[in-house]
Amino acid sequence: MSHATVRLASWSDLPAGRYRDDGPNSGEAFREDVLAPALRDNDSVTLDLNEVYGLASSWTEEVFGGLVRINKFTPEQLQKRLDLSLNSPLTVKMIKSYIAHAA
Amino acid sequence: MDLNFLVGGAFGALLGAVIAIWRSRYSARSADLTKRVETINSIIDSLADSASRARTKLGAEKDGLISSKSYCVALQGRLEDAINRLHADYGKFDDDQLTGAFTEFANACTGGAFDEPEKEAEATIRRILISGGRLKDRVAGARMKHY
Repeated sequence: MSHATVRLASWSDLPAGRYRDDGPNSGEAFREDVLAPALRDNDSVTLDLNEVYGLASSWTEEVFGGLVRINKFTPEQLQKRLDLSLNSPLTVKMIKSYIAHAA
Repeated sequence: MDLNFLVGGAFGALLGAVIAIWRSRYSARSADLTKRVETINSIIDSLADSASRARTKLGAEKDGLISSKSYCVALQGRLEDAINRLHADYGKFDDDQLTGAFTEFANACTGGAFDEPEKEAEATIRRILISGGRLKDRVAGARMKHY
């Protein structure tokens, strides 16, 4: 059982924008370059979303909705394999709703 | 007789002191909660204002800071932090209705695409202001469950 921990703040503490065209710290870039490969290469992933300066809804939806919509992970797979570390119950519920709505 | 009188007096004084301390604590917590809800309402208003300007560019020439996307995202982060802290300190600020209202408001403010066509941006303003009002209602509802 392989496991990876991804810390968003190590990638960027100022995530911004939905698509790559919006800037280097976009949701699309994070999903395609970091999160989706980590999920493909490991049985489980812990994603630490703490210590960043704000998460725009467009960025968050592109990452988590995109995992379902574009990278073809199912909500059930994500529920089993992706563990969110986040000190914000509001954002955790928001992320779950993005995953559910993208299915 | 005198001893009973003294014991009764001491007990009464002790009870009075306990009630005074409890009332003082109750008042302080109630006032703190009210103040923090007012702060949350103020951030909701600021975020709605900023997001509306950022979406439509209306008034952007007058105040570029408020209409900047980063300012908008930062306000959303502050709002999220304020509600999360309130829940951590007092509880009852995480029910599905409140978190659903927060998601709806956050989606309206910073979801989709900032550079949407003018007509869509105009419609987004309506979503922003109305969902902001709904979030305030939910926060007020959670507030009323306390004191």
